[in-house]
Amino acid sequence: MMRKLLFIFVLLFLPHFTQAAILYLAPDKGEYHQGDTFIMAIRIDAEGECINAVQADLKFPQEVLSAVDFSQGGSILNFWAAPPVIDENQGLISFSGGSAGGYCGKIPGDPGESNILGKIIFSARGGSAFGGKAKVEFLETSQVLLNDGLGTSAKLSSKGSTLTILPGVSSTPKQEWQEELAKDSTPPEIFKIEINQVSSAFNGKYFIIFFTTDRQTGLDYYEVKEGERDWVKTAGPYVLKDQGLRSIIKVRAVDKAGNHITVEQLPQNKPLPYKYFIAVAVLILIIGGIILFFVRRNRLNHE
Amino acid sequence: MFLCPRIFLINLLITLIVSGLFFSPFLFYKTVQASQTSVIITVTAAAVCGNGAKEWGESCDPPDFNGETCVSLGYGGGGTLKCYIDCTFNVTECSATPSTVPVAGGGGGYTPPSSILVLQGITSPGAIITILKDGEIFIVGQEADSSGNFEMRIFDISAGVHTFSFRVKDKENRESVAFSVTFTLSEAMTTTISGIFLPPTVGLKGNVLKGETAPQSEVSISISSAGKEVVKNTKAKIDGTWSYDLGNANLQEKTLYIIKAKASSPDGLMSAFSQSLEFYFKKAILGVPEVPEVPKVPGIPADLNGDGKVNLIDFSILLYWWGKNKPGVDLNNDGVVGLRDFSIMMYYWTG
Repeated sequence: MMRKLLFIFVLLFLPHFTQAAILYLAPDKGEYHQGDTFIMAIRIDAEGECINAVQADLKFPQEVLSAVDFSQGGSILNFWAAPPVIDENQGLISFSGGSAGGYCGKIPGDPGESNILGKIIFSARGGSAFGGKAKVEFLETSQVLLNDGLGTSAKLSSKGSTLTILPGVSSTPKQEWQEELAKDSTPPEIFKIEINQVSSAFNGKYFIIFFTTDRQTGLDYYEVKEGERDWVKTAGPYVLKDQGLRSIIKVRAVDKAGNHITVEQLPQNKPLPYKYFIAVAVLILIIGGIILFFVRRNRLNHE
Repeated sequence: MFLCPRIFLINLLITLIVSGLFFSPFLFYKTVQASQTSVIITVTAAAVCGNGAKEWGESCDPPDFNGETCVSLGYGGGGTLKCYIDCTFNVTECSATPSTVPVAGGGGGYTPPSSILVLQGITSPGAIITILKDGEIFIVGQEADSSGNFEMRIFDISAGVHTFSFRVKDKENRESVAFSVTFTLSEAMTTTISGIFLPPTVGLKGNVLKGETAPQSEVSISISSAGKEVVKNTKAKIDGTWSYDLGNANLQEKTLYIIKAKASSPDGLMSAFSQSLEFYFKKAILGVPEVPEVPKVPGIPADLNGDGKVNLIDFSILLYWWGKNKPGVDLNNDGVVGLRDFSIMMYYWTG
C-alpha cells in the first residue's frame, strides 16, 4: 500500500522535465492482409523546440513488408540534403531534409497536423516469418537538429509502429497509395531555372538550379533537356553540357502520379550563326592553301 | 413555497451567466493561442460565390458590384456590367474599348474560390519585412505602419502545408532572426494568421544592448553564461526603440555571455527570442571613447558564394561537397560537410 502511495506521489510531484523532440509513425498499429498497400506517415512533434534539420533512418522487416515508394507530398521539409533512399535488401529507409527558417511545431487552430516529414508506401508480403507482426522502427542514427545556427542536436525520442499482417488476401485489398495517385491531377508548382557558376564547386562549370514542390503525391524526379540533346533524369543541381550557354534549357518536374510541368530557359548566348561557320571554313581553306603553297615552293626549290 | 421558484430562477440565472462567461470563448472562437508565441490561426469559409455579398477573392456577387460600373472599369461607353457565375466581372455588355480589362472573361463552369491567406502582426514602426514562402522569397519591402502593425492579404495560393518565414530590418538596419510558422492552408477557405509578433532586433554598442520592437512592449533580456541565466527587463519607447545598459546587470569581465531578447506587447502578444549575441563585458573607463556598434549586418556564415544571400546556390555548393572535407563549406569545422552544416545553412537562409 505504501509502495502504491509512494508511486502515485512520485508521479504527481515529479518535476516537469522538458520533453525531447519525438519522431513517430502514423499509424502506430494496424492490421493488413497480404497484398495490401498502405501509407505510413513519418511525423515529428517538436515539443516546443524550433528545429530545422532531420535525419531519419528506419528499419522494417523486409520479409514481411515491402517499401514500394516514398512520398514527399505534404512534407514540412523544403530541402532534401539526402533524398529518400529505400534499401529493400537490408530493410532500411533513410533521408535527410530541412526546413528553411525552422519548424516550431503545430500552431493551435491549424486545421491540419502540419508535421509530416514524409510518407512510406508499404505493401504487405505475408505474415508467417514474423508470426504476423511487423515492427517499423527508427534507428539510433536518426537525429534532429535545433534551429539555433550552431547545428545543435535536439533531445530525441522515437515511437515506431507495430503492424499485424493477417494471413490470406483480403476480399477488398487496401490500395491507399493507388487511390492517392488517382486523386492527384495537379502538376508540381511552377518554378524557375537559374544558371550559375562558382569557382568553389562543379569545377567552375556552369550549372543550373531549380526547385519546386508537389503538395499532393510529392515530387518524383526532374528531367533536363539542353537543345536537341535527350532528356536526362536528375535529382538536383545539374552541370550543363553546353558550357557555351547557347542551348535552350528545359526542366521538367514530374510528380508521383505522373503529372508534370516543364519550364524553359532561353540561351544566354545566341547560337553561332551559319555565316560564322562559313567564314571559319573559308579562313581554314585560305590558311591551308597558303601553307600548301609554301610547302610546294620549298620542295621545288630543293629539287 | 412562493420564494422557492424565485430562488431557483435566480440560481439558474447566475449559473447560466457564469457558465456563459466561462464557455463563450470556446463557443465563439475556434482559435487558441500558441504556447510559446501568440500566433493564432483562424480558418473561415472563403468567399461564398452566390451569397449576394462581394468578399475577398470575388470581383462581384450580385447585387454587390463593390461600386464598380463599366465606366469605372475603363469602358468609356458605359453599358451594363454583369457578373459571371464564378463571381468575376462580365464586361461583354460594356461598350468602348477599355484601357485595361481587369478580369479575364470566361463564364461557364464553376471554379472553386482560391485559398486566401491573411497575415497580421506587429513589429517595430517602419520596419521593412521580408517574407519567404517555403524557403523562397515571396514578399519584399513590406513596411510596418507607424504603430508597428502590418497586414498582408495573399490571394490565389495553393492549399497544403506551407512554411512562412519573416525577417525584419529596423530603422538602424539591424536584421531580426527569421520567425517561421508552418500550417496547413485549406482549399477554398480564408486562413488568417494573426498575432504574429516578430522577434525584436538586437545589437550591441559597447555595453549597451539596443534594438527595436513594437511600441511600449516589455523587453525581456536573457543573459546566460555557463548554464546560468539572468533575466533583465526594459521597455520599448513609443517609437519602438529600446536599450539596456549591461553595466547594470552585475556581469563579470572576461566572461562570455550569450544575450538574446524577446518582447511582450501591451496587447499581450508574445514574440519569439531574437538571435543570440556573444558578449564580453568590459567596464567603462572614463575618457575612453565608446566602442562602435557591432556590425549591423554581420557576415553570414552559410553564404558560400559570397553574394550576401543564403539560397539555392549555396545549397548546391553544400550538396557538391556533402560527405567531404571542405574548409569554408564545413561550417562547424568538424571535418566533414554534413547535416550540421546543412542545419546552419537552414538557420541563415535568406532565400
